[in-house]
Amino acid sequence: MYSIFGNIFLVFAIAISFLLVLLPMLGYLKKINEWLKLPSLLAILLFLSIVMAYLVLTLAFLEGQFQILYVANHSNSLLPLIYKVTAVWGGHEGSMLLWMLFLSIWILAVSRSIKSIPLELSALMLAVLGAIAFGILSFIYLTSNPFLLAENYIYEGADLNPLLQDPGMAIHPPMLYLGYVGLAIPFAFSVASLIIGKLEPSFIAWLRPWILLSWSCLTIGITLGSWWAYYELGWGGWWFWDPVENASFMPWLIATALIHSAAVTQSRGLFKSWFILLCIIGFSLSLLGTFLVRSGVLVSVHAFAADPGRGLFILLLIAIILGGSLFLFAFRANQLNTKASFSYISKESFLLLNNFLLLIASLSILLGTLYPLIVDALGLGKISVGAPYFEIVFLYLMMPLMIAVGIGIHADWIKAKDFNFKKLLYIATIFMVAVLAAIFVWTSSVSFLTVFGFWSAGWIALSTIYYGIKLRVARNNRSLIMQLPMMIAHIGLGVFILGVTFVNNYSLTTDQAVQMNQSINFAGSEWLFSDLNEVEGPNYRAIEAEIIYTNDDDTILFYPQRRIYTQNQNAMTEAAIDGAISRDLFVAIGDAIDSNEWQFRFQYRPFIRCIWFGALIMALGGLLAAFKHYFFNKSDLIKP
Amino acid sequence: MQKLIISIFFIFFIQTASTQPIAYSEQERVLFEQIRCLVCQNQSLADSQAPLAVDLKREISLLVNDGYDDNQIFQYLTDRYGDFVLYKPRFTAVTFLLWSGPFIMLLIAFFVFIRILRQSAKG
Amino acid sequence: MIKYSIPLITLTLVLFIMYRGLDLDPTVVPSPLIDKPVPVFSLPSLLDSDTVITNNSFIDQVHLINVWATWCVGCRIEHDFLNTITSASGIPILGLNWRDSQSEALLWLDNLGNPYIDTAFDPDGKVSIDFGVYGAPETYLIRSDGTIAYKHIAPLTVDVWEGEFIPRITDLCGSYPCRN
Repeated sequence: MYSIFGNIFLVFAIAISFLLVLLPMLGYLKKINEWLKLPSLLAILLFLSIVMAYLVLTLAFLEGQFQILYVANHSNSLLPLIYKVTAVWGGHEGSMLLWMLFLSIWILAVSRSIKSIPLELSALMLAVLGAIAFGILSFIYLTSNPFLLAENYIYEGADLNPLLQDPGMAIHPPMLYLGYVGLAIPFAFSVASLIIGKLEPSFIAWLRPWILLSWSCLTIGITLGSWWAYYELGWGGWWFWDPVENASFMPWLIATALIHSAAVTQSRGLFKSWFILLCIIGFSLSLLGTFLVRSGVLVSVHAFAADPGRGLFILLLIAIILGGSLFLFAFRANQLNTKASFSYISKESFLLLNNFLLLIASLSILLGTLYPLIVDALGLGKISVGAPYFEIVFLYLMMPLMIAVGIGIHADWIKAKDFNFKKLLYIATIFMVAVLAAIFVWTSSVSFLTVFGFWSAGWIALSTIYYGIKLRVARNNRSLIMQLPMMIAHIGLGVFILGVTFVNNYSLTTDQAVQMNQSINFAGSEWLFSDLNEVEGPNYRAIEAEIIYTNDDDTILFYPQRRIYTQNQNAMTEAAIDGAISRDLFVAIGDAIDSNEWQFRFQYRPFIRCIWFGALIMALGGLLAAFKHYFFNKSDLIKP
Repeated sequence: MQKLIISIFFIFFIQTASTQPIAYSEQERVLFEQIRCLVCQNQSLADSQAPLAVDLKREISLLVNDGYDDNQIFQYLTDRYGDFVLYKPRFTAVTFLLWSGPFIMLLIAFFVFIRILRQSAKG
Repeated sequence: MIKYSIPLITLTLVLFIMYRGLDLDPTVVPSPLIDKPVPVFSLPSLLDSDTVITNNSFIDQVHLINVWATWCVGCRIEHDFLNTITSASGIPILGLNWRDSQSEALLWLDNLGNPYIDTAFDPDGKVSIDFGVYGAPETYLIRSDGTIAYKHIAPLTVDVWEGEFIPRITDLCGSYPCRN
């Protein structure tokens, strides 16, 4: 029953999406205005059919309908209720349906807010979105159908991967997908603009809240992924430069560039073709990321079932969608450009610098992620490109940008006025001295990266605050309020950099075997292994150690666990974390040496929470900016 | 009963054959983080509990004690397992484009950037 | 016009690389020991601790070295096939017992048959590391001059044997079965 209904809704959605492509396209070519108005209705129908399909699948999970293969593979009757809901996106097929659900939500939202742009543009945009929907739906229906029935009767499900039985899992994929999918909107917008051959700044004003919204979602999604990996994977790291992490980070970098590029193109009508290209690249990387994760082409943490058949389908999808748009770009982009002048030192030049550096960073990460594949495909052997490469390349590329952020905020359009820079230089130097002094006092050892990290974090924050002060002093309250989201986002960046600098340079880790009733000395405190117990969870049994931490100030109890999940006998480690803004203390239990001696990992992570808080502050800034742009649509060009 | 259950767990998690509990130095740990575990290929040696990882860590620790430096240890590993085992790719003819790519992009971007600035300043 | 085509060209390249990647298995680690001499080792025999097996023990013969352990599921799967190889191919198999318990290993051979001309006992895995072993079962084809001709990772099956080993053995021996 479930399977039949699910498939019916899918097929219906495919049909609707097909019409969503066909009708506006024909309407545009034949100038039939009625057909240009149809997307609104079609968007509603598409949304409804996808929602129904999704609900059917969710219901199947809730009711343990194990005759559906996907449900059997990812669920279990003992699975707690909340995880039955999140298990829907715990595997490849369901997660693609979630992807599609979000696409239909975005399409619906867009179709209901197209008043301020020309009918042609909105219709074509929805047609492009429809094409994407059609492609993804076909992919789902033909290669990744979550409603397939199992061949034999299955009494009980295989249980959700224990790694995913966790609250972080509830929000990380949805947020991430919201962001990924959201990038389809600027993409559709640019392709539609290429088809029409026109790009007005006022249209970009319409687009901006959408870019900012998907950027914010991506930011939150990536942050949650990092946070989740930290406490769930058991080894205390927050970023691994794993191919799948890179797959989410690259679109984020491009989306960031896009936000800044939109500002230039909207305010001065410049770099239109560049803006369009960025929109295309952003979504390309989203789709590419989808491919990388599901095709088995790269070694990665994410355990989506590798299937070259699916990989081929996605490749074809990418080839058609992206190939088509870039083909269009090659021929049409030229027509769009308008000229305007700006001086060497101006907001335009800083934003251009921003775009170049972010693009190169993104391409470098792409290069590093794909390089093992390139080398293997050319028969030149097998290499790994891991964290050491990405850290070096990314860090050094970002350094000039971190410096530029502090200056660029103050630069005016067209031509920056000079007096700003003396004061900025003043701030920069004083702060550098302060940082050096502080480091010497506290640690008596200096390293270039540590100094630069602390300095740039403060530099960005201080420069932003100074900008706000300038506006206040000039009684420019309206500007101050309008610029507040931007300021919050950049201060968030500073907080983020602060956290990273602390964690990268002052973390302490030790892996040791500890005997029962033995205590070790680590990070200036005593850690006593005082007890070992068996505990039972809803679908697991665990061995739980008790570690008593003491130092002069306080005593903390830690209860790290090693779990065995009943259904599939998977073994997992649950780290015990004591968190505070100033530091995290982290204890994970490893393997047994004998019944009274176990391997432990202890970590001291100073200010690690600033990493995620900083990122969330950035996302907050983005959301506020989306809000601002939605309600205060400024579409006049700034002229000399 | 408690003891029995704990023993069951210990059998499940115990490291096989002859392994001795060892605490590794910070220097060794940093080294381990740069090497891929070939069994659990998504983890570094530092994070992996796989028997092979335990063995390799022990071997590397012995080499460090014998005075081997980082490069010699990497050579020891790549002689046996190939370049795949190193997270930081070595700079060879094959990886030339990998390491110089970002720099080349930066150089190209720099010239394009200057050109755009010049044109826009004039116009 | 040309500069606007650069993105399209880049995309084509990237897609091509991905496409080629679909046929590859990213988790397989090729061995750097191919065409190099067998690593120097000296281990006691599993069956008789007084006998010493070294890298030279079977020189002047084309032979196989098969890495196995009783805890290895794939080894159990390929064992039946291993029992048939020597007589069919004329090639002796030297076993390398990896990180195992001697008593269990002996029991295993008793129960399932012993296809090996002898088995080297490597309980702490040091020699296996020298061989670059990372996942049993692994099988090495050794030339009569003591260099490694080929390494196969994963259980030996009829298909693998016919596809990868028989052609190489025919090359090395001049015939199949091999007259060592």
